[in-house]
Amino acid sequence: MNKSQQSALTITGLCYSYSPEIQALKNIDLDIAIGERVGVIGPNGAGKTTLFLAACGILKPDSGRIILSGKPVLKGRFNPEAALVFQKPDDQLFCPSVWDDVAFGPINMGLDKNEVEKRVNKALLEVGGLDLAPRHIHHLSEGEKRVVSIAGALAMEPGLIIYDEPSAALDMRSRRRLISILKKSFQTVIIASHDLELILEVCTRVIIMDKGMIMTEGDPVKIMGNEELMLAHGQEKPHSLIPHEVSHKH
Amino acid sequence: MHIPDGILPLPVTLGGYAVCLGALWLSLNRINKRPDPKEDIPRASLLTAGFFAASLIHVPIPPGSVHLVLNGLLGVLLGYYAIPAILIGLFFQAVMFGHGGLTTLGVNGVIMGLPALMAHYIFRLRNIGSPNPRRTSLFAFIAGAVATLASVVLFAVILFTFMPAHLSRAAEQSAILIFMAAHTPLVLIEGLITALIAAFLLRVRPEILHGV
Amino acid sequence: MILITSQESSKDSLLSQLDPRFKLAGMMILAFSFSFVSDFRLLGSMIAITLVLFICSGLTVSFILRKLKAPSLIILALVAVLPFVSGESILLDLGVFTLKKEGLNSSLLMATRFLCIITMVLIILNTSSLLTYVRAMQAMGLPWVMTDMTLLVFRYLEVVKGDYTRMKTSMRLKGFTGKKLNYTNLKTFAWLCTGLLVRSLERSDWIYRSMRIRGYGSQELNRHDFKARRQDFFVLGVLIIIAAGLAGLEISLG
Repeated sequence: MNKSQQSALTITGLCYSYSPEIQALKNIDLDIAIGERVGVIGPNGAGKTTLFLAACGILKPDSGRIILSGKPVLKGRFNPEAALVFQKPDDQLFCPSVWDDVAFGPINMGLDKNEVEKRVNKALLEVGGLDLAPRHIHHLSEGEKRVVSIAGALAMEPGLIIYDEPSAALDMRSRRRLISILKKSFQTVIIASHDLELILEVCTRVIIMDKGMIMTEGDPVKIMGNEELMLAHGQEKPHSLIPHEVSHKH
Repeated sequence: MHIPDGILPLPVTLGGYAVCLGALWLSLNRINKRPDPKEDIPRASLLTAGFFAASLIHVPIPPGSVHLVLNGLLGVLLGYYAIPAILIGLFFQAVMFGHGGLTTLGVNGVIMGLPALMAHYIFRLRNIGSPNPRRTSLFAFIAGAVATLASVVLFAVILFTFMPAHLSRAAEQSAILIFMAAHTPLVLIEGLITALIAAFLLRVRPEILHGV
Repeated sequence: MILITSQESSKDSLLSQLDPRFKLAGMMILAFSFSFVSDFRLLGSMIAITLVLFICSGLTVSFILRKLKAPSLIILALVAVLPFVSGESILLDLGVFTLKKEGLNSSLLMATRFLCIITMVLIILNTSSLLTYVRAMQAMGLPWVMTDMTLLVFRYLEVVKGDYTRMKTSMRLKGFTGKKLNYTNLKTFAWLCTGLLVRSLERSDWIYRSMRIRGYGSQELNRHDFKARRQDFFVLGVLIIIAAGLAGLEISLG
């Protein structure tokens, strides 16, 4: 088996510009193994969301290659092997009812009615949202919307799920629920977040992105514990890595 | 300017449906001929929802206030999507608020939709010669005012001519003229607001003015 | 004020159990037949039919009256004026105003037709959710552009209205009342509209990306779960016969 077949996602030399003046991605090289949980941190405008959109085939790169589960990613082609959970659930939950929205992906995969129903129920069960199925999306709370948007991704049973700021605007209870979903997942996961404690708790590897480039990557504690490095890229050392007399991490 | 159910005779309401469905068929034909028709659906839909919300805005026109119509601007921004958008807007207004009607959906679609398409074509005239902010505002004003005026005229003519009231020709004509005169301030204000919005859009998101 | 709310009627009522496609077809046929009536002798039949539908719906009188309040105001203006301006036979001479028979008849006719149609529509549309009816229209052949747009508009209407409310509140907190007609206020209204449209546009870009990621456009879909049963055909048949009967009587009496 060659390297790209063991990888969930392999990106080589990826460049993308929104306009001649705005180069969002500059020569990105990235390799993510199956089963990894990778955190991506960096300031706003670093290119994280652009990278994710390119990985899902929404944006056509100016140059470079993207291989997802052994197959090249082409713009405009439906790639159910990758799912992206957006920052704002309202941008993503576009069907009127929860059931319809979670079923959207499986239906477009051409699955039959029974299989669609099985997948929707399984996905909602995984996120603890089975009771939300008959409800209208605009009646849900932010936490419930987040949970449903994750279910919509899970229902496609992708190999790779990308989460863009998943804990933004969540209360503590919903955030804890999200973290337990992320830790339980067996898919390959990429998480972009300003919530550095979440990254520390969930991820096995962290990447720092800034100005359209990958600056460094490695063990989350080593990278995020490096105060100078974090400050240089608009971040801060997570509170839990600041030395305490008594550690509060279990 | 929506005619409720129960006022117009059956031939008029059916005629309204025939004309409106014809316009819809033409619009859908144009839409389906695009390279990727699905690409514009979210944009057209969200702008429709945006216009629905914008129609909640009440502008003070003494002695009271009126809600904005903005069908001219809708035509400018949506082009051929204006007809589906207006029909969907009218449907929701009828079933959600009881405003307008279901037997009169076709007639109301004609009253609002045809002027919207007219506005679209008027606004495109700004591209003749060198487009600049002044031309954009001017043609937006004309498009907005003409669309509202056309809707007012269509509404008045259809209502007063066809409703089952025993009005003399003279009375009908007076009613139509009085109605039009009363709506002159609205026509001018719609034109002005359309021009202002177009000027703002030109600064903030100019590509939206090229239409969906 | 929402005329249509979801599932207001009892789920056990006769109308709630019918196929929504048949209900929509029956509703429109009946509405058009009501609008065809112009003979006074048939107004009573129209009212009776509406009452029977009301009984079969499981809805309450207070619910109907509450929902009819706002739409009725619209017709009030028209019917209040007509008896004084339309017609020739004077019923009542009040000096400055004269009440005319033909005008009064026209008013009563239009008011009754309007109230019967809107009540009948209210009754039928409240026996299933609006979303179900949109799916029913899709199953009946509504073009995909209309279906997709209708569902998205339905989904995002409250979201966009929320944007509007927040922006209006923000303006109020900064002292804007908008009660005077002047250029500055019109500019502010225009800016509010612009904000709504631009936010809607930006949101639509993300929605499109989200739809594409989950396969929008990759399949031609028209799947539905509606299954017509004998009682659906029976009720639709009855409604068609009633509509045809009304129309036939109208023609023969006219």
